[in-house]
Amino acid sequence: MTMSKDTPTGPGRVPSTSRIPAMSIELVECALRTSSGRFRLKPTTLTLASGLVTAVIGPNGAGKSSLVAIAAATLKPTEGKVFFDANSVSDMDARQMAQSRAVLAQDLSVSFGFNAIDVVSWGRTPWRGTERQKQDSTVIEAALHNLGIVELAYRPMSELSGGERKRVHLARILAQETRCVLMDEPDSDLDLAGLAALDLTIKSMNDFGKTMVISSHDIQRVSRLADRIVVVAEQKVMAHGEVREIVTTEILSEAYQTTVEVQWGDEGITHISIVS
Amino acid sequence: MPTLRGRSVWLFAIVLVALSVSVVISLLSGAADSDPVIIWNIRAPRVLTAVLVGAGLAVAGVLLQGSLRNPLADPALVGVSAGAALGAVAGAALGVGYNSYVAAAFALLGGSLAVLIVVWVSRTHGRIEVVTVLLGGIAITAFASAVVAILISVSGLAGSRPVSFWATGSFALSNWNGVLSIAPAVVIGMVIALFIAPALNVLSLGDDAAFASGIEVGKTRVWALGAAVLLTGAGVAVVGVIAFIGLLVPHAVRLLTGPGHRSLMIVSAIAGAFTVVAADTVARLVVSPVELPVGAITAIVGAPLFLVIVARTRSRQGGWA
Repeated sequence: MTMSKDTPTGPGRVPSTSRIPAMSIELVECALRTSSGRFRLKPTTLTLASGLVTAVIGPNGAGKSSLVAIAAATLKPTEGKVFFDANSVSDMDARQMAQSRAVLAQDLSVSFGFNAIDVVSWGRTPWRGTERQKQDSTVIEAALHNLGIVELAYRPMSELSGGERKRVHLARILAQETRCVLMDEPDSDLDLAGLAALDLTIKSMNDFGKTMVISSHDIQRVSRLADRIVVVAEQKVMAHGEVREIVTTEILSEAYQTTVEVQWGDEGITHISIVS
Repeated sequence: MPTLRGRSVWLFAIVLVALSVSVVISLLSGAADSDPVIIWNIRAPRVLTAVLVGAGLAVAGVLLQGSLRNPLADPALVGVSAGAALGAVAGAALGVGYNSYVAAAFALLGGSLAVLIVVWVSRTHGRIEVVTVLLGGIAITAFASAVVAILISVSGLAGSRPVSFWATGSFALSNWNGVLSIAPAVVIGMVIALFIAPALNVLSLGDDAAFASGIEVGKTRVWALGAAVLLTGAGVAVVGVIAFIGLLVPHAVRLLTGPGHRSLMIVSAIAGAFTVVAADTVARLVVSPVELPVGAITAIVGAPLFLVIVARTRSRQGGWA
């Protein structure tokens, strides 16, 4: 799988080998409360660094999805502000945001009998009416190719397996050509081949210069993929930093409220387990 | 690459021919078969009303289904028609002339209120629930129908011939004023519908993913619902409530054109017009000289088909999403 076909080309565009300018996301004192006043995310200030892969880990219900959705600006925090680079998202409309970041949510259902290629083509929505629209068919074809789903293009989404459907949505996000991609538990319900394809996609998106934010339960896997780790526990960011500083027995044990043993080797985590 | 576009053009041509044939048959049949005065003064406005109402109901169905992500939405099932009926009767009770622009405005107001209430009650965490929309529609329809019945009784309209036709859904009261009172709303509604068709496609991803793709979800939904009211409400003031057209026509057309909203709307408009003209012709001729209420005919055919669609949708989704 290669990304080279997805590279935008043409006069005035960056050459295909150079990285695109990535985007940072900054949360300033962002909090989310339920209508009864309970925190789903306590006030959080966090910078998701430009051009890096940041993995968000933590126990179920700790606030991972809320954090990712707020960072993606698909969910408005009840307090605080979100910035894409230096721009407050409250000053941006849906289209401007969609030109900056793409989102893979957990709910991937598609109503009515649309085909895979229809769904992929919707990734081009934010570029309608711009110069970039001319590249629509090239970009869509490249995205189908990169995810290995060319032969699924004219199949209805309802007939595809869970893993195939996820690939279609990944292709849609690739076709959106944004500088930043956020994914909420993209590895749930994928088999081994699906996981390998996902990781390759994440890596090549990042090689291409995109800022990546990925929430996951698979600590060992994302520790290989990520540059930075954010640990969310008890509705707040408990730790944030370089992978080796964060994925440690001490921090994970505190986050998961149980003894988690982590051993690092030269190649990455060699062992991770819960000691009871 | 299969060209759905090309197939839709053929379908469009076929339904257009079907519509033309049904219009000609409707114009030329009945008592005093080809008296030009009867054709021009009575049958022509009646057929045109049926064309406008049928096209309007079918496209309103497409808009409601697309914007609510609900394959079972129909103007009558979600309460828009009953709200419009209440508006129209309230207007009549206040002395508004039948088949006038003011009557149409009253109906549009009633339809808008109904849709606002249904959407408001069915919102949970920014999502619109399929089942609640239909339940809200049931409640609105029951309430509005009750008020309509009371208004008809107390206003002295009861027992009058127009009201008895109107209450069951009929084109017997159509005239050129009626056509003029429906046409602007239907034309504006169609233009809005075609304009938001691409956004409705993306809305199939659900609100959050559609927003993340650059769609202004709230605005798109307001335009869609507003257009659905325009396409339904003005017609209700003239012909009463005709159910199931907005459900069945888009459903059948979707099987042939695929779900893309633009071709779905265009073919559904023509197919809806054909269906209603054909139903009205049957209503007029089958036990002539007695005329059957066309609303009853569409319901008798529509209700069983509705159940079939419910069962199919349910088995495919494994429940309600």
